[in-house]
Amino acid sequence: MSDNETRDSGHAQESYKNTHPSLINAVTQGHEPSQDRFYRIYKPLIRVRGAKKGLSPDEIETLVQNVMDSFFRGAKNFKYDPTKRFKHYFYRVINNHICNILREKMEKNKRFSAEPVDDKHPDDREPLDGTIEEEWTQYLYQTAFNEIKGRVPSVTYQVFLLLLQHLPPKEIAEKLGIALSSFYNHKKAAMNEYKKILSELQEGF
Amino acid sequence: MAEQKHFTYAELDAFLHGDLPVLKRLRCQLHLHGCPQCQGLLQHVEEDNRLLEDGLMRSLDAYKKENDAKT
Repeated sequence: MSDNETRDSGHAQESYKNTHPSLINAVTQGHEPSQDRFYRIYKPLIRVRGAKKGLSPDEIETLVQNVMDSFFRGAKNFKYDPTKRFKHYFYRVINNHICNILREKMEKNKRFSAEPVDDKHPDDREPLDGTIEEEWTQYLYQTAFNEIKGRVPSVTYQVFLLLLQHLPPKEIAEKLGIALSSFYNHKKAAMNEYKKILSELQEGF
Repeated sequence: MAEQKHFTYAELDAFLHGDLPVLKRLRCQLHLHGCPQCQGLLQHVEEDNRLLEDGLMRSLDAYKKENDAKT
């Protein structure tokens, strides 16, 4: 085994745990490909949050537009502080816009409804708790899974898919007509790429 | 003296899953006792397996359950 293999594996582990602000910096500097990537990757997260808060499909699309709009407009003034988690800021932006949409709906219902409406406004100082971290982690895992297909050879991807279906290594190797040792090499390649994608997704968050 | 042969990431993963041939498995077991480098690499392999099984697999299973419940 080469020293490189130990270093690469260790480095992959470390880069997965450490975060780098390069995507956020590129977005805040108006780099359009980075903004496109940011939009493509994080739009589903905004939609998930909106759905969990009971927004309708139309309201969810409005939410996405409003969040991205205010984020890109406000991003120029955002200074990355490595002591604070950007994702908390991002979640607060999403929550604030959800509250705005719900508040407008409640005001509208109050004007047209004959029934008394609960006057309690949604609390837009909702604390970010462990559920956010859990949701964020789950989201990262699934997004990284969706991204890996185009980044590894076909056999490697098939190995990865079959692994995720809980098939044992010998069965996967037989199914794909490869040696068991090859299976483990493909698995290693898939995991390295998966961790690289996770690390990229966590940039700045 | 012949250079000691270390084990690769893939071989250690196979070792963890009981998929090494008998003789190789015994050699690996003996080697690991005295090789901090391979012990370190084995830890990385174990961490990756935890990421795969406890992280991604659990996440995808939960996502599938949620979707099945909706349909």
